[in-house]
Amino acid sequence: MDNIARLKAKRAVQQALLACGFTIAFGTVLALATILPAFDPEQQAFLKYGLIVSTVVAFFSFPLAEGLVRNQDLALARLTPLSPALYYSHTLRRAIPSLFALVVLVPAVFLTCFSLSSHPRAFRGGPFALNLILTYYVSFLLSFHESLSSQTWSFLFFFPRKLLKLLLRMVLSSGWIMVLAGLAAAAACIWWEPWRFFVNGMDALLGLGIWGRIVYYLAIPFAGVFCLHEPSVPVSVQWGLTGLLAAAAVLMIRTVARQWALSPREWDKAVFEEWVGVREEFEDTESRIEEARESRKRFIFTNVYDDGFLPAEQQSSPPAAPQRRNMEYTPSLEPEETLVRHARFWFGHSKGLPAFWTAFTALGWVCLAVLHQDPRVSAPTHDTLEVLLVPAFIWLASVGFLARAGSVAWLPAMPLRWPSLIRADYLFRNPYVFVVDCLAATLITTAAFPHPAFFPVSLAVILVSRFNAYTHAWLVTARHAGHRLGYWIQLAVGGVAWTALMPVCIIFDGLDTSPLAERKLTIMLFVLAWKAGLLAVSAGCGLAEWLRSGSQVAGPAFATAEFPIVPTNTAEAAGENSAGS
Amino acid sequence: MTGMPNDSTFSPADAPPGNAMLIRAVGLKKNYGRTRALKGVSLDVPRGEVLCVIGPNGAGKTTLLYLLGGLLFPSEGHVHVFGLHRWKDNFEIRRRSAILPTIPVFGASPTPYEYLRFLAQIYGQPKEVFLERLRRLCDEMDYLPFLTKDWPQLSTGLQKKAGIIGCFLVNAELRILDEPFAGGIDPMGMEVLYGWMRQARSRGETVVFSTQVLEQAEAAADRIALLREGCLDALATPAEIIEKAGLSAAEPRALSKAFLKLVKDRRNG
Repeated sequence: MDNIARLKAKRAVQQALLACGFTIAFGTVLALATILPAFDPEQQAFLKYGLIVSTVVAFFSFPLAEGLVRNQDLALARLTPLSPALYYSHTLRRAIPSLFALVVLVPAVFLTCFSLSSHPRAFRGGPFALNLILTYYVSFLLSFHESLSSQTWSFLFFFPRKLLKLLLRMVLSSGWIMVLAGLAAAAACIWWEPWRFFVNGMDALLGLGIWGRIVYYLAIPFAGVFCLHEPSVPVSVQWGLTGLLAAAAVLMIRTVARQWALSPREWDKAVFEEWVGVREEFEDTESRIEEARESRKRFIFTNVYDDGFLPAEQQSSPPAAPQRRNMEYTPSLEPEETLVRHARFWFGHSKGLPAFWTAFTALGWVCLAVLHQDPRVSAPTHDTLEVLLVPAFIWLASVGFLARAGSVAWLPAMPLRWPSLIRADYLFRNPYVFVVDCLAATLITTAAFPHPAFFPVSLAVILVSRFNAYTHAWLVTARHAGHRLGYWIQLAVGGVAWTALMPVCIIFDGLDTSPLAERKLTIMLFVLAWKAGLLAVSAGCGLAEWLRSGSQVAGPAFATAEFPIVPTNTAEAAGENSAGS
Repeated sequence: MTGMPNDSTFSPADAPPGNAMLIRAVGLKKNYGRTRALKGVSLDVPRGEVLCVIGPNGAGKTTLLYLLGGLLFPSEGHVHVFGLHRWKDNFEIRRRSAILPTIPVFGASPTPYEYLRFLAQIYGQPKEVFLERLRRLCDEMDYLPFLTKDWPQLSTGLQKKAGIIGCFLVNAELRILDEPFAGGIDPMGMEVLYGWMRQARSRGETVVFSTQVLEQAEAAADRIALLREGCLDALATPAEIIEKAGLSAAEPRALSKAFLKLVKDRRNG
């Protein structure tokens, strides 16, 4: 078995090279961060390009990590007694470089940014930097722990380009360089196989489609132009960009609608059809595989038995094609069923999500453009508001991603031991979600509470956010399992938790004496109230539904034919078809 | 020969202790939306038996194997394996069984060797045992030269062979193979697979597999389960199926003809 020995040697060399690559990248960032302030501005400008490269490395290490961390081994869990411990040890060994990047490289980039205190666009230094890094670590470790312990989905949706913008504006002096970098990255993503794989992964994650993909990769360079040269970019260009994004949103919505105007019934029917398609995707995989396989075998079958045994007409007639899902549109479905259908379509489906995503993005651009044009808003105020608005839009868009969990309809169909692990795998399969969750939570809380004294509040927000994510994951599972009581209890608890956070925010925000304290408080309260209200309404619906169903705590409530957790009516089934020799 | 349970009051408490019947499936139904793939199939499989599931396209063979293998939940009915509940004791059942799906799943391992090594780790196989068994199986399957090649360099048949080797590499009391003879396996590989099935039976293990080629079913199986449109039409030895069709076992390709006759008779009502 010489070839096995050669394979082992090859793998060892690959691991060593990978470790060297990340060490060099890390060393470069640290060295630049250390020596940069000592250079004169011209040299700094040159070194900044090195930092850009390092930042891009850090940024793209997340998607590259997808190839390392994305765990196809989980498929084996359905077939073998793969234990969680072995699963993670097997996975994490390959994920060490990416974890290294997450734990070390990202804070290093933060530190590098803060070291450029002379930059006019730099963050406020000192306490803000400390709090940012602290919060990042807390959120990272929390998410990491959650994923390892398989306890929760902790994903918040985040636009990576926003992060890129916030980081690059600290270190980049020319927006056109960013244009070129963005285009080069887009070209690389298209032409280089691993990145194309990543693009496909993102496509699956975001359900971008071609329009979304174009906007996504064009938005990166355009965002650089817009943010770095706001004063010099003509107003017409800014509004043109905003209009472009808005048009893209409209186009996506139109694609969804297929027509400009649909009657409510037609619209509902279209949603229903898409919904059925999604269910097919998740539920009928094995059925479709068999269909394809058997259509191939039809030829073999016919030839093997082509010996005159069957009449010619029977030979030539193909076997009946496997019956496709034949779900008729039924407008008389229960209101809740219709609501779930629409929610999944709009927030969780591949066509609904990018429409919302782009619409929110366009809305964000419009707000920022308006702010920028308002002479009453000073530059520092504009900066601060932007820092607040961006997370707010992220937060809004995150709803779509959270609701996407509802489309994971196959979850209960997995073996009982594994659902929690599947959730963890969801994070690992999408490192963007994993990382971005940490960064989004970090940005949100740090932007709201920049002083280290507010770190406990940041911690509380993150904890409540994770708790909410957990309850959401739980209720999705409980819902499919038919546990209505648990469903609405979890919703109610989530709403109470968010509501309870409000006075905490008010108390701590009262300590903030900055001129923007009131506005910040308003925004935070709006977001919190919105979250609490959403959960409260959902809980109310759940409670009403539970009462209407006659206080049935558990049982085959939600389409047991689709999610048959508990086998029922076995007695009837037993006698239906018995065959013997 | 095992009779079929018509006991409509079967409950988990009535499940066999795990010695006589390795698999007991009662009233298995599986719906995909409104499509009824299985319409209430009941069957028992004793230890040390090789059972082959045959049937026309869309009969529900893969669905039945996946239900027995724990890859799908039944819409109704239940399965007990080793006397254990298929879902409540899923992990324990997995530990004692090996499954080869229609399209083998190799996980993230880039080569067959790494896949098989990971599989051995999953089943807790000692390294020495793994290497010895791997060498033997690969020798028999003539697979050693392909062990360290990347998957894209391997043909469909060679990939399927890796799945088959993995299925027989680990210690298991039950092996479920969906269409093991399909997917480009060469005649030599088929012969080796026959041999492995016979060896498994001689060790007291149970093998359940599906196929579309009835000569293979006749050659390898102790009993044959004939599925049609989600119903179990027959569960008998090849000789009994031939007899049931009114044919003589001495006829060439008797089982194929019997199968076609039974299907035709059913179709005609």
